[in-house]
Amino acid sequence: MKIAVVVFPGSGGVADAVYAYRDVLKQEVFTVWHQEESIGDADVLVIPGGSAFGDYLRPGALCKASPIIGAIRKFERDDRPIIGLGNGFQILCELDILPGVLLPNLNSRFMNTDTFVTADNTKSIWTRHLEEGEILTLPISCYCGRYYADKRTLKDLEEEGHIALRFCDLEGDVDLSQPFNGSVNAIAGILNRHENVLGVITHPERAIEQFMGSVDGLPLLESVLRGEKPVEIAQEDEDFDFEPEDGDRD
Amino acid sequence: MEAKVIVELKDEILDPAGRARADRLNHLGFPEVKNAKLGKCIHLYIETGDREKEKERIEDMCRKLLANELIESFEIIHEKEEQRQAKVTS
Repeated sequence: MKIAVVVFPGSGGVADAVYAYRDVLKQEVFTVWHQEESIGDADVLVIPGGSAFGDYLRPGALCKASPIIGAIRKFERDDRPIIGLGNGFQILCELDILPGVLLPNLNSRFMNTDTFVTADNTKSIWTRHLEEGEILTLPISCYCGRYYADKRTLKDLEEEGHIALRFCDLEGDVDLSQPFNGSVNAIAGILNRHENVLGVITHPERAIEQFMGSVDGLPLLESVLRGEKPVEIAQEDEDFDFEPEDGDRD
Repeated sequence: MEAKVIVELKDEILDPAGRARADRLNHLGFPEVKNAKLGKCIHLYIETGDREKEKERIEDMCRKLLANELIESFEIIHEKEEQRQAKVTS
């Protein structure tokens, strides 16, 4: 597949996104400068992390005026897959492609740590390789990671199953009264109405090889490439290994 | 024309940075401070010659970019030419 990574001035996470899709997931990757007006023939669009336009005004806000935005909106309207990673999530919210906004963390600190998140939606093109309630260890690296939406939007997100990931503890329990960093309903990632756009405040592209400390970002990044969840194949392999040892064949 | 746009978080949005300032002021001997809000002030210098149109356009700028109305409110302070003149001479 062809993966386009959009580059704004200050998008510090471009190399991570390119490395994930080109070097680890072996896809054709190209970057698109924000002054361009076309995304070309990309199949998947990645809006990387970092601090586009220095996070001036509000994170993601100044991207609104970039020429590439028209093409991003068209990509979204055509139901083609878009993922926003960290600052990319903030940009998608500022563009109103995703509802809500990201506010400064509740402790007023830049949070740079591993977090636990649990999968809430496991059916979308981005989350279908996750198991419901599966706990993922993913890094977070941001000052504005506190998701906020009004009550009506939250109700819609909950009812339509568009909350992709929630912050949880080591056991996978979600504490809505004291969520990590203050995100409403402990939200760490959401999908748009058509479920082709995913925004996550964590960084799955920084958890894809053992040396990074976690590989839990892989299922999120690759489900868009590999189609249906390969559960049945894995099951068959397991049976195949198991049966001869069992000795029941005689 | 010059105008100031004050952008602040709405009252219902928790502002930890503002709260931290209020807390520190309390510790510095200002117990009367009950809360503080941290906002932004954007000073705009505009030249079109049509004051009414300028006001409309600044409001449009606030709605389109300068404030996110989901979480922020904005106030536009139009600086009158004579006030500006007084400021320069004082």
